[in-house]
Amino acid sequence: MANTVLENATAAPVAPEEPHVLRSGETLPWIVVLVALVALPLVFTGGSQISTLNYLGVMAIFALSYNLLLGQTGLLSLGHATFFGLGGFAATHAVLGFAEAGVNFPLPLIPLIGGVVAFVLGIFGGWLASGRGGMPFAMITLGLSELVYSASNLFPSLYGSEEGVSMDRMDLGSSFGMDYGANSHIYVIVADCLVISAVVLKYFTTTPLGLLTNAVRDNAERVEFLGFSARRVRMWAFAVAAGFAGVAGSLAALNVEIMTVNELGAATSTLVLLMTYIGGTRTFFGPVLGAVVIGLMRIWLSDITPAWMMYFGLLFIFVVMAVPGGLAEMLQGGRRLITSGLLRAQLRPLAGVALAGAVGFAGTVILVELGYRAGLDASLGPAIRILGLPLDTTRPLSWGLGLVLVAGGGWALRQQLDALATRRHALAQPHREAVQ
Amino acid sequence: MTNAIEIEDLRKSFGPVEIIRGVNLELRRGERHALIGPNGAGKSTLFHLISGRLPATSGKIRLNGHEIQGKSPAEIAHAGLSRSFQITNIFPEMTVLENLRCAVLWKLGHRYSVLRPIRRLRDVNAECERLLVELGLQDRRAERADTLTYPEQRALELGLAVASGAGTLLLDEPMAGMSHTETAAALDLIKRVTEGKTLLMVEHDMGVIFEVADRISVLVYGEIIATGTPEEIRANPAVQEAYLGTATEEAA
Ligand SMILES: Nc1ncnc2c1ncn2[C@@H]1O[C@H](COP(=O)(O)OP(=O)(O)OP(=O)(O)O)[C@@H](O)[C@H]1O
Ligand SMILES: [Mg+2]
Repeated sequence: MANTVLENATAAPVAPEEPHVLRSGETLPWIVVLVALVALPLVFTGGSQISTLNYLGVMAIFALSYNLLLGQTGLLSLGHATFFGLGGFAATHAVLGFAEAGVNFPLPLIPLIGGVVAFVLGIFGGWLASGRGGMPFAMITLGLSELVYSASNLFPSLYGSEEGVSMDRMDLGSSFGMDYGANSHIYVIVADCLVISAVVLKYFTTTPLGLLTNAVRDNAERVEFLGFSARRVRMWAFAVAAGFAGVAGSLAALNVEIMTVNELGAATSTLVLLMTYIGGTRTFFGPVLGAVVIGLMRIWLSDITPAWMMYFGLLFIFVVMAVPGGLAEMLQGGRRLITSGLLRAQLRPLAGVALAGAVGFAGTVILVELGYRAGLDASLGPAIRILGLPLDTTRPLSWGLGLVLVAGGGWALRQQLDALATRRHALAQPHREAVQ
Repeated sequence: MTNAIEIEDLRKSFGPVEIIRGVNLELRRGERHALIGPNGAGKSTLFHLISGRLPATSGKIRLNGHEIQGKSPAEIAHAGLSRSFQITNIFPEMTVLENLRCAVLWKLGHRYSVLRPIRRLRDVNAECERLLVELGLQDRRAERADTLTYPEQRALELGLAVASGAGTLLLDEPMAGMSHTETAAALDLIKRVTEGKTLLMVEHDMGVIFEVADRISVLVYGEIIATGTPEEIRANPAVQEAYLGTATEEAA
């Protein structure tokens, strides 16, 4: 609440021409993404590190495509992985087919094939799912994806059996001066595809059809009275989103040289939903941020702790409850705060919030880790080091420490948030009067 | 010349209750026609039937001679009908400018286009500019529609209806909730944009009605009990008894 007051109060006079497309905050993320794409492979040079970067890039494209549905058109698809997977299988079979026919098809164009196949299938799927938005749409996408997933049993030649379909990305030979043996060669393709996808998807939002997707999200009924079919708008959004999911799936296939039915299953659909939501659906690059954060959590956190899924869930709940705009909006809020010149006046309560939050978080970590050790990992013994502390699952004191930190942190957080709100209110007051 | 709208024995029931009970109504091309009647008479329901939001139980509706009953709202819009809503029905999370852009896209032929960014479409820009000025919303163009004041939202609601350029307009209480000066401005706007068009308007303010309407129809309990010029309606004893009564004296 206090936040919005602040926002309105400090907003610059309304820009006369283009209010939506080029907000000042819109160029910075592009620069960050481009710099990161160039810099990251220079910093992380190991083969498996590059493969991780490839994975993150793939997920970034996948999440961007998903947000065309979720954020732009207001459609909750529960089966977006279908097109990720189908695109991946199309790409895999294309590589196999070209290799067998001895055609020297340039590997970087393979994602185009996966994308087009997914786009065409997306038109069908979109037509089926798009009669209405909301719950019916979500249920139909879920049904369609289950259908496609279970069809894997019927078409083993298409989906491969249990172990999936594998290929050798070097079979198509060299092109553009690369033989595609090294992961860094795939990185070049992934990075280019990410930039192209982002540009095309961004462009899409500026077109009449892009505007209509927002209109359908806001008020699908009214769109009809303006002469448009909400169904057609949803269908095209669905098809375009499917197409880019297919590009992402193709890249995933090129990265690991194997496609399995898991790629088009419910877990993958859930993953992209969480990435997009946690990153932020109302900011163009929010999903990219979500894909990177969640992708890294999956990789790094799973090395550090067996309970990584738990933190994943906690993060999701935190975002849903505390920052519905996602991590991107959190960053934007921080940036606004810094540029507004009001940061200093709020530094104390902000530090208090951070400290209280950290204490509560530490307590949560202790409880989660103790719980895991006591339960699933009991065979490893009761003694465990958490956050550098020697704790023991059999000692009540260990549990007590966690509980005290959670309760104390939570209580303090409340106090500090109140203090922050009061502070912001006080700061906003004179501005508000000036505006009125 | 065919009438803009012809309604024949139109009926609508919600469950066992018949709300529209055999309405016959003709809108002459180019006339400004007011629809009045007490609360709950079925005025909005009649609008929903004409515009395709609700299916009629029976009866015929013709727009410029073509039957439109049973068609979708979009098809009816293509046939040349546009409407506003009694309960504000805009795109809340989009800016005022974006709201208007959506409304002018169809008539300018940029239907589901992805060929160019919308801000490069000169005709769309010019048309939206004109509308913004006309609606008095030019300073609010970059605001989200849900942050507008109520009268501003009503102006935008009206704007969405008139932006489509349809030949026939249905306006459901366009001035409800507006202040005196806002009403005057809205009335001015309505008169301007409906120049040469056919207008059917629900309105409770008798002053407004007698100023704008060429003819008036009175709907009571789902039936049209009288249609005529303002003078005829004012003099009609059945109308006075059923509805106008004291309102006439106030207006006079
Ligand atoms: N969807 C519906 N289901 C059941 N009854 C309805 C429905 N819509 C409207 N009604 C009923 O139909 C009657 C007419 O409603 P309507 O909104 O058309 O009246 P109105 O003349 O526009 O009134 P007002 O001047 O208050 O706007 C009311 O009694 C209302 O309760
Ligand atoms: Mg009504």
